Amino acid sequence: MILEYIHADNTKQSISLNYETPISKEWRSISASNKLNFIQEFLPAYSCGQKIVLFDSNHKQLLKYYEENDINKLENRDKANEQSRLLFFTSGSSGFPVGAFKTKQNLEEEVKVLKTLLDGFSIKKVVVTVPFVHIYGILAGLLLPLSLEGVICVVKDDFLPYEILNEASGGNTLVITTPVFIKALSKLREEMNLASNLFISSTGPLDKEDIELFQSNYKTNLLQLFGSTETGGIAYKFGTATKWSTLENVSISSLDTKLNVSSPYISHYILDKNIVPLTQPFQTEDIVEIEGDSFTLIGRSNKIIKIAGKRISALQIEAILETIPDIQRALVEIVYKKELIKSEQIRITLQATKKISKHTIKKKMSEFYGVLSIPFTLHYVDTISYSSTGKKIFLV
Amino acid sequence: MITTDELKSAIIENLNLEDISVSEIEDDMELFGDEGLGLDSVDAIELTLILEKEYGVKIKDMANAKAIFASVKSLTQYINEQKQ
Repeated sequence: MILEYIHADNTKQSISLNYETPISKEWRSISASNKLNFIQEFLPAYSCGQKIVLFDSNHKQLLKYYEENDINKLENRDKANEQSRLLFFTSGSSGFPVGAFKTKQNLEEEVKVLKTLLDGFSIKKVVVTVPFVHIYGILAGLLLPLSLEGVICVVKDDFLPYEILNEASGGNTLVITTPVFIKALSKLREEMNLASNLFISSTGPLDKEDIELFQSNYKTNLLQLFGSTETGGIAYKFGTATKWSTLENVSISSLDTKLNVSSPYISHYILDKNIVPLTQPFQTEDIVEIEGDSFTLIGRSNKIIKIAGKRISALQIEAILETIPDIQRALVEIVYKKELIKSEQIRITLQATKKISKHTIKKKMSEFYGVLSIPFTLHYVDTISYSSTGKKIFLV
Repeated sequence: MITTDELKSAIIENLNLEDISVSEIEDDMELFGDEGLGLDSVDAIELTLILEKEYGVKIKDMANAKAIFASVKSLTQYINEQKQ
């Protein structure tokens, strides 16, 4: 594979890798400022067997969490150390970061199965628009292209929609991207024939109409992958299919309508204050209707939104807001705005001793989420109480 | 010709920035980053769609976009130049 990095001024550079990287038995974190530096640090280290922690340096809460929970000093690390190679962080259901360890076997087996989904496509070029700190970016954006012979893999820190079309216009191109770009491309006033291309998208809100428009404008193919950091890949679907088909080696069931998964891609251990083993089947927060080896996704039982590829918990935002003096309680609800690219937004309701400026709220959220701009509306009520089931409710 | 206020209204409406009014956005205010309006990379994608939909102006690469998206003033100037 030939790796090419496109700089902000559009100049291209072949990425050279130095495999004489010193390896340590300790876990080492990689949080490079751009994709070029990341690849140059990550690929040689990973190939040489270095254990690597991946996290987004803009995520200040995660940075603090990682500093306070040095994995090299944790109890039970030897069990996780035996095979684990990578550690990813994700928003836990409680709203605070949880680490998921991945073994080489977890990753290699999944890449092998993802590769079978490319059967029928003659891929000569891969364009990667996704960040590498998350499992989807590493698996689909780096390890999958690495497993393809004779391809050119093009990466850039920030793509605009037309830049993707430009890179993909030669055909036989695999584009590793997100629902944001699929939606954006569908809205451009462009028509092209990209029939020999395949676009792979991570899971996220993507309406049937947007997919139809995308496929009709570009006469191309779309594959969506469904999974999570802890579980790895679970299922896939092509085009406008409504049902998700399970990936090879994944078995599913449901308990109280929640999706349960057993597979070789699931983490054996997670980091949740300490290193704890995960048992299978793993219960997700996804509400589904199962039919054989496929399922229809009905919704999620927790309050997680995805903004710019980042999973953010509404509960976490509530906890952050409640650290602001004068805010007694905060209630955060997810609002879906189909017409927007950033389709998931939040509605904040506050019980406060005085009105809080939006600037104060933005500043507080930026301490945790960096430059990410989370669209929100702000409302005040006299009292936010708790229901008998422990859920927050407000009384006007 | 469009005015900076017209563009601000279009940005507020299309990015659904319900918490901001036209008068709160200064012509020279940075659109992206920690200071100024605080838009992010997904908003940049949305902005390119707004410009195409509302004004028929296409922004095809990020190298040019950085200077064009610097502020409402630079963005307005670019749109008006393209429409001439």
